[in-house]
Amino acid sequence: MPSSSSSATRGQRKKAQQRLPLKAFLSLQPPPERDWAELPLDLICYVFRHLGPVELLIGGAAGVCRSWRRTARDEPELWRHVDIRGYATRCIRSHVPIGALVRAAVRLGAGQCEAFWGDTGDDDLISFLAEQ
Amino acid sequence: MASAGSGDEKAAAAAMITLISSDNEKFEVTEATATLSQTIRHMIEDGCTDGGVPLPNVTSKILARVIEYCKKHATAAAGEEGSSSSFSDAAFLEVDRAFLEELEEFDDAFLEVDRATLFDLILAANYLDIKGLLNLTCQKVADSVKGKTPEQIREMYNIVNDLTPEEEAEIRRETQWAFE
Repeated sequence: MPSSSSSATRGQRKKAQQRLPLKAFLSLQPPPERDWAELPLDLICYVFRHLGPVELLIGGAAGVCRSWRRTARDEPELWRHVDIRGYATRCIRSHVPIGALVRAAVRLGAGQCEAFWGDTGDDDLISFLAEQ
Repeated sequence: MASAGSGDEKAAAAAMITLISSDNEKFEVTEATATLSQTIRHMIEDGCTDGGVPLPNVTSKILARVIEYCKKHATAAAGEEGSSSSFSDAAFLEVDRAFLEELEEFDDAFLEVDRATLFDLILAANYLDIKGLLNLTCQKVADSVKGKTPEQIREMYNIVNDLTPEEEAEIRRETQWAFE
């Protein structure tokens, strides 16, 4: 009995020595969350500009919530420069026909598409772009 | 020599700007650091920085981070301007590369923040009109959602799915590219 109680005391003392001031734990608290759906539309647009047209068309961002969806589909400005270079493999893997993808991008640009860069495509695609 | 030095110091001291966060904390920064923000640059040009610049949209926690970014990038900008005259082209390029690498490392480390801080940094960069910081933070968000499903993104950014059934149907149709 005495030996066990003394070992308990020793254990407690050890714990007491490891005690940290409360302040040390404040920084460990998870920060309050932000509502990313409430990011102002021009800033969602800014993020999406860094995402690029292919990701906006076949990636997940356009299906997240209403505000992200609307930005990804109703902002012709995002489709002014369409660059699909380096995305051929990704499109094939996702079973996305390049022609349909480019047509969608140009349609979303609503006449504002100014430049296109691609490293893949066929005659149909080229004549489609030429018509635009 | 000594008098010239103290004169420089005086000029530097005169070019200090006080920024005041939403929770009333004051930050003294050099004009070179402060003017990375176009918003503050315009205020300085208009001569309305006496008594400090109140920034009611930015907390002290975020302002401290923003200043850290501006200090580093202001130094980089000054270095680029100053080094060209004192080095040969090759040496200049060498210094330049080392500088850019260091800056890149700084930016990477700077972005090691939780999502709430990243959100606040984006808002602050936009409000203060700091192009480099806005690009950096928005690129970070863009990179993090690349190749993810909507559900993964919602989870990552704590977003509630508020899409209408029509929009959900539209998204389902869109994912059937192969059948077009």
